[in-house]
Amino acid sequence: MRRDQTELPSLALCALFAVLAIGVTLLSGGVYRQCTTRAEKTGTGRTALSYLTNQLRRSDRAGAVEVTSFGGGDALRLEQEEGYELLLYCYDGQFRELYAGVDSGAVPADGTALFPMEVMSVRARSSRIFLALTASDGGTWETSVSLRCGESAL
Amino acid sequence: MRGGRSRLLELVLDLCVFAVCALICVLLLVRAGTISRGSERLTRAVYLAQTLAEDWKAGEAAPRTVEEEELTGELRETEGGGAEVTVTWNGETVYTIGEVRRNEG
Repeated sequence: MRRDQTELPSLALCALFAVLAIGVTLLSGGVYRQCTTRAEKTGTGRTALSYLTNQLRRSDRAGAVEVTSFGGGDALRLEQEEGYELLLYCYDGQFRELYAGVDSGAVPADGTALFPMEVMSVRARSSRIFLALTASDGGTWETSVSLRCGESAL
Repeated sequence: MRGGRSRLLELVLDLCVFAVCALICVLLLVRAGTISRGSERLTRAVYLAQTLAEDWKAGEAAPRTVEEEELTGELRETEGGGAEVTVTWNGETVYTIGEVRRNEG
């Protein structure tokens, strides 16, 4: 009888302990997943925009930047050393770069996939280039680059 | 009886210690979530500020205010001929570019 008096509260406490432990574990898992997903999304967007901005900056010369169409969407064609060009575009759910000779006949699938990205939208106005990237989850990342060499780059 | 009571007391104390640890964990998780959201907000603020600055450099008029999702970017010209960009979220400054200059030549 005495034994029963302490056994029930002990079991109740153990059950409470277990419920709390499971709750904290589930909560931790949820928050960890949210944080990693958000960090991944932010990281991809930041990397993509930084990459595009830097490629534009290093090609910021008269006539070296062209907004074109490739792989079924907008693309940036950046002139490299003589006879070569760098194409930046989205194809098959990936952001790709294609370094090839001018008029080499390369197809969109030839480009090197850099990171997942669904759509790249590029608009040129005056000396400005507007870049908008849409990820597979629908999140968009936008920026604007003002070319130092002015309109003559386009 | 004494053994049973002391065991019960021990369990209660264990549970209290665990509850304190769990509370600390939950607070840390909440903080982690806040920092994570702040990090994304800051990244977006940096690009919004960069866009405003680049637009102004290319000849866009000032002052200019742009709203993007929860962020508000504001560009205003300074007395020295430059411009200052401030990005806010709910009235709180998230990111600032202190001095922007137009492209020369």
